[in-house]
Amino acid sequence: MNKKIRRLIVGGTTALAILGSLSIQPAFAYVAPVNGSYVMRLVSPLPGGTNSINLTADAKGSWDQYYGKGLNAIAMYADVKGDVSLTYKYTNAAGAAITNTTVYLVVNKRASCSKTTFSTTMGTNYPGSNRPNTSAIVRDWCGDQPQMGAGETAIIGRTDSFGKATFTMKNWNISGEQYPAAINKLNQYSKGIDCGDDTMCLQTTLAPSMQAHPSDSAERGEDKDLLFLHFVNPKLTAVVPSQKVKAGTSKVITFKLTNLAGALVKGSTVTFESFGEGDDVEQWSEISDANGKVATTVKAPKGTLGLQVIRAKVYGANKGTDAKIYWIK
Amino acid sequence: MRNVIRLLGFASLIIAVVSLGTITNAATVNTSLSKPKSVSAVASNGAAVVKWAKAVSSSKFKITGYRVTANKGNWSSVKTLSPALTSVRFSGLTNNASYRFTVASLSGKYVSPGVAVTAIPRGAKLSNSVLFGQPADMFLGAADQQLFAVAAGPAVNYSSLTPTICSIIGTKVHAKTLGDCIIRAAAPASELYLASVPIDRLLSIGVEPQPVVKTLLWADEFNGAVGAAPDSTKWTADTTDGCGAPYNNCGWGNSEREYYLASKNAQDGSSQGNLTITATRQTGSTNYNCYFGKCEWLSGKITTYNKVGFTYGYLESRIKLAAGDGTWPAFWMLGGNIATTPWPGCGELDIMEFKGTYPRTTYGTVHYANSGGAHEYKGGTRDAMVDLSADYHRYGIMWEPEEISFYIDDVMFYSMRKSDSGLVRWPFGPNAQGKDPSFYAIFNLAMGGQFGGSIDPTLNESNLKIDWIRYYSIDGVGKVTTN
Repeated sequence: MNKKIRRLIVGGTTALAILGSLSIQPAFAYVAPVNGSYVMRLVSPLPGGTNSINLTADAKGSWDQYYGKGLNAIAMYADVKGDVSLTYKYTNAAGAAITNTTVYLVVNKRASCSKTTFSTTMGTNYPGSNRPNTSAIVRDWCGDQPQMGAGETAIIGRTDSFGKATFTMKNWNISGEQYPAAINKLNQYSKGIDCGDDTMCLQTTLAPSMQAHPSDSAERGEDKDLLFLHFVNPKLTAVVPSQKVKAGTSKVITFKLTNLAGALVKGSTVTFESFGEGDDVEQWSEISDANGKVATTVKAPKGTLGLQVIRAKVYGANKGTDAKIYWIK
Repeated sequence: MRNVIRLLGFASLIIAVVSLGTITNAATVNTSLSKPKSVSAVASNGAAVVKWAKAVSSSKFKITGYRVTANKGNWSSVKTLSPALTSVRFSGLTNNASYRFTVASLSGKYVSPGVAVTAIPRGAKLSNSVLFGQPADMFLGAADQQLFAVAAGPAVNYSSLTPTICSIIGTKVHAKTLGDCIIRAAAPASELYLASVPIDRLLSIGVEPQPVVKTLLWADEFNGAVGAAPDSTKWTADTTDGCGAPYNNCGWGNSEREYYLASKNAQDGSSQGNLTITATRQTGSTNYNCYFGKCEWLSGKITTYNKVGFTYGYLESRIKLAAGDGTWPAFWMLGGNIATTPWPGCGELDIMEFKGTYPRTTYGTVHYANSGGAHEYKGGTRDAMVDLSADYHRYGIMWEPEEISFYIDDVMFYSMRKSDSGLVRWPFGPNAQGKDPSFYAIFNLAMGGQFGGSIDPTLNESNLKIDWIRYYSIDGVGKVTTN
């Protein structure tokens, strides 16, 4: 059995066990990881309780065997279509910085069921002999799909005199995930995240490495911070969720966009939909202003009675509250 | 900063200053009447709740109720309450204004002296976020580094979470020893703001490295007279369409459409000094026959084969690429042992390849023979975001025995290690006998072919302009050879 498929089954076991319906025993013996020859840690953003969830404990006894003993598994949120900048520090096992050396950040690792494509202006190393004509980093696939491995792309970096390399990319996730309760309350796969039809939710996996496409043995020789990025849309909130409006007049409906930290999000394109009574919205699409606000106008002919629901979407997804208009005489 | 604050729940502030007050209503004040006890006021967002303990009835005065008065300047509000109650809520108050609440006991027409407290309703406290700039890494012994962080509320406090490695002096970080220093920035709570979530930043403290020694070993600046051929001590022109000896490689192995002539390689005599390789479309009759019939394009190609070789080091050229769909200019290298170890075994390093149809993209590629002798290649590209045929750019290769990296304008865009090839020995490092390889440099302007693609039928001429080619050793690694 392909190692990656086995890995998926392990993850699938976890997810299924939560459902309490089925248990699949992995068809291999657990190999206790040993310390790696290289250590690579995420130093910016510095993972902590306020910006990430440490999933390391979830890895023990299952997929951590594919990496060095010092594996950390970290989940973080990022805004849909936002820029991602990650700085890793590369050292040897003794802690000495590995300087002026070509290093990699493997993005959309094979079998990672990645949820997004990226683009980067940095150098990339594609699998095999591919020489990309574009700066795109495409999705990789789940381990049970034949395309698995085709998308894995390594961004090429060069460590500085402190052993650090920074990798920048932009994500092009379209739908995003559900909005979390708080930035450090990530939708962990073991905590009931909506995984869609994916086998498991360790998707969109990024990992530093000394090699572009490390072999299994090379990965076992590296203690690293494995990163799972989860992409969320800004939250859309109707400034006035519900109101009565006299038919025959018009009303401006305003929504506010906020991000994970509650900060206002400007410059995002919002589309509007209308359901129920009243005329269609006058503005189908607006870009949020400096105050994170967008507005559209609705009206209804005289004599209209009933409910009209105005729904705002960002990047095609509905993340937030609708506005309700009750048309009255 | 407004963007980083938001209202959070209800916060309350208690200010209770107990003092004697007066009741100005019509009832008669009687100092013998028992006063309410333990009067307090708890303010919240636009409201306040006044509480008290019951006054004690006496044989002479039975407590029949309470009168609670709220005062702010000339404004007042009076509530008369039953004797069973011990609290009352005032709403609709103005936040951040001081209110005086006076509670007095009632007994028929008499009223006790009032007991007054003050309270200030407050809106919800504002959350506070810290924006903390990433401090730069520091060399040991460097001057203390100013930290930058801002918050909506009180000033940010800094602390070192790694005090043995770094310390905070005022708003600066001081490097104490080698290691990773973590600085925390946080804003404390205040009357208006909640305490911020702390933000941590890591900076490394290291030793200043020795500068890289880059030594120029060889160059051609192409500063010859206008029309002059390239220096024949360095360069040889490859000619024909590849058919026939010594090449025996029609279409140069790629179905290319050009026929090379030495005359197509000429220096321009400009103040900058360029070598121009000109490709021109052949119209009408021509004396040149190509493998596919009458030649379509005449162009140029020069190499340093058997004249100048390079082993490791950094080779770079400043080039303005050839515009037009179908152009295929290249700056590349081949193993000098190609006569005895045919391609691909000899190795090929394409420092720059370019397609006129993708004018923003440069390609860097490593070609070699795999363990079975078959051709393999790996490479990368860079979208320069500008038309590379519109101006000069520098294309370089950093060649080490076990790693080759490709650059454009000092930006590395691809790197390959020997281990990526899966070979025990690759043609770009020492051979089984420990002998280092020697590669020669090539410039050419191909047209069409498998890489260049379809040629724009309206294109009649295109130019590849080479300002210079320079070769350096890096920290002593790199040497000029004759191959």
